[in-house]
Amino acid sequence: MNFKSLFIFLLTLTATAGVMAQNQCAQSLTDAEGKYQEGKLYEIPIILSECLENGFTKEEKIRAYRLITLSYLFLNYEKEADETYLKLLRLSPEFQVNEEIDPMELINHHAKFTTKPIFYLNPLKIGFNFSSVNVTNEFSLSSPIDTPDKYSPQVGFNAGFGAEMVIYQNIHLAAEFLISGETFHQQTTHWDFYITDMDYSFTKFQVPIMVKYNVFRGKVNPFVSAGVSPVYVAKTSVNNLEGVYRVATDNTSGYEEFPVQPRPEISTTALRNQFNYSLLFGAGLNYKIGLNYLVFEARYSNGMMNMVKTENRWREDFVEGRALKFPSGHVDDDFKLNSVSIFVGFVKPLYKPRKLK
Amino acid sequence: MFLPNSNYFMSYGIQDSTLRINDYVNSSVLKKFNDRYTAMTLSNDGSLMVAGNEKGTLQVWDTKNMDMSESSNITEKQIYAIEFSPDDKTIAVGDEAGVVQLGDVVGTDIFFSRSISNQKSRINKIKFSPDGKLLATASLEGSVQLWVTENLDKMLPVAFEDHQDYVWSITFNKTSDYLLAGTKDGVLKLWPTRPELMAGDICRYLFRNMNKLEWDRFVGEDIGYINTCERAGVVPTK
Repeated sequence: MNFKSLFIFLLTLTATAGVMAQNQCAQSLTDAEGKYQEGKLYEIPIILSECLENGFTKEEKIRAYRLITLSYLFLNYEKEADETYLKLLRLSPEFQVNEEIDPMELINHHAKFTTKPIFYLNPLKIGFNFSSVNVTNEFSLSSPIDTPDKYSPQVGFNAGFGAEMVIYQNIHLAAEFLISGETFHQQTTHWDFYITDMDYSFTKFQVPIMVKYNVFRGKVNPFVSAGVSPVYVAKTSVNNLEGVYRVATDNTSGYEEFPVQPRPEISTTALRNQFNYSLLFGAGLNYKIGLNYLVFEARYSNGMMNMVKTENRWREDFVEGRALKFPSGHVDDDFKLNSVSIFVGFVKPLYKPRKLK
Repeated sequence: MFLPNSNYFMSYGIQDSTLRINDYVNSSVLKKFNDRYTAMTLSNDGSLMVAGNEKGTLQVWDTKNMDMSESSNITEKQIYAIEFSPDDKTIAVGDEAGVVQLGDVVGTDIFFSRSISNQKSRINKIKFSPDGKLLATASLEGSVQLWVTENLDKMLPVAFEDHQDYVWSITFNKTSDYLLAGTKDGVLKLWPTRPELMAGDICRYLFRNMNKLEWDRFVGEDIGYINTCERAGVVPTK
């Protein structure tokens, strides 16, 4: 017999042994169910013990644990019934008794337990955001003849993870760690003839702490949330800075435009307050898939502090400040940064089967 | 277990192996056992308490001082039912294998000499009829068997097998004419204990005498045929 034949023989033997063991265990479960019908309760845990160690499928294990629990209940072994039922609930956290056909002893026993999770893990949540600016004070080199700056949102991203803890019934305390990139566009007109366009960009780390109220009702479970988040602004920049001079011409067309040299990226980190915080308001739904949830969430973040480090606004004694002002003539307005975020995430409930006190 | 002619009753908790004495208001611990008893009863005169455990050991206490007077291993199986006859002269003990042992009670001594075995699962309850003439055994296999105490060795029991689940509990009415059986699925069944009553019940449904074929099949070929409804004094209405 060559090596290949030997390998195939051993593989076949192993597979056959596995199928035989499974058949024997299926038979032992049938036997145990027969013993239960006959009232031979002491024999049931003995018949099933070996296959519970190795051999039963998950569904068979659930049937076996149910049967052993019933046996212990009718034998008045309360502690053993509890232990066996906990094994069943660990295997099948959403196991429900059938009130139509299950014995009252099992229905009453089931009522003494809960599997409700205390913790929920949110290993990944991703999404996008739209940032908007709340200008609190306007500043300009050309003030007061400037027109107001125009701000428009742009799409940024969010990614992170988190966890939730049940604090009371359906009220959860949620904590997250998020990294987000937020960006918006600004257009400024100086002295009525010089127009600059630029994108503000922020890389932020946030630790939202939120209270959530969940409505668990089956497949689709809505929630609302509110909280606060410390914000660390790790990096900010102005990107795609472009400018155009409009020079009046003699003809009737009005203007001739002269572009200034574009600046792809200017770091503005030194011009920003790096620590901030925001208030959060959200709503969403948990969509149940098996034992876990797919989460869809919309969240509004209201920035609470000025993003601009005011003492550096007019300084020109460092590179970033000069680069912004010359030749674009840009000076930061005081502003707070708000955003609307849309998240998709995955939530894994950590079921904790336990006996109620 | 009510103490005779008193408002006190004893209760035993299998989880804490504690025997308590109670009235309708108070409860106090009478004795804490080391063994886990699966069956316990008082004699009708209240002088003896008998308990059986999962090792098949039967223990007897004199209730005057709660001293154990006897301990004997009467079976290898778990004991789940113990009952005194109304005159306290006989005790019946049922085990996990469906065997009922009968013993003669002399003072605080019990002498086992007979056993009956016609059920295959745990005897969960044993009851003597109030007149002492019948002995009923209830089993988890879903059957109740009714024995005539004077002819335990000679007559086969009447078997009531039409239960869909474990028979948890049985009791006779005061006249011993009926036996009430309660099962795990929440059903109570009332069984007549005398052939006349059984025949009368049949007549209410059959409206005529059983024919010979039906008799042979449902009563037995070896039992002499009788006109069931006439014997029961019930006139068929159709």
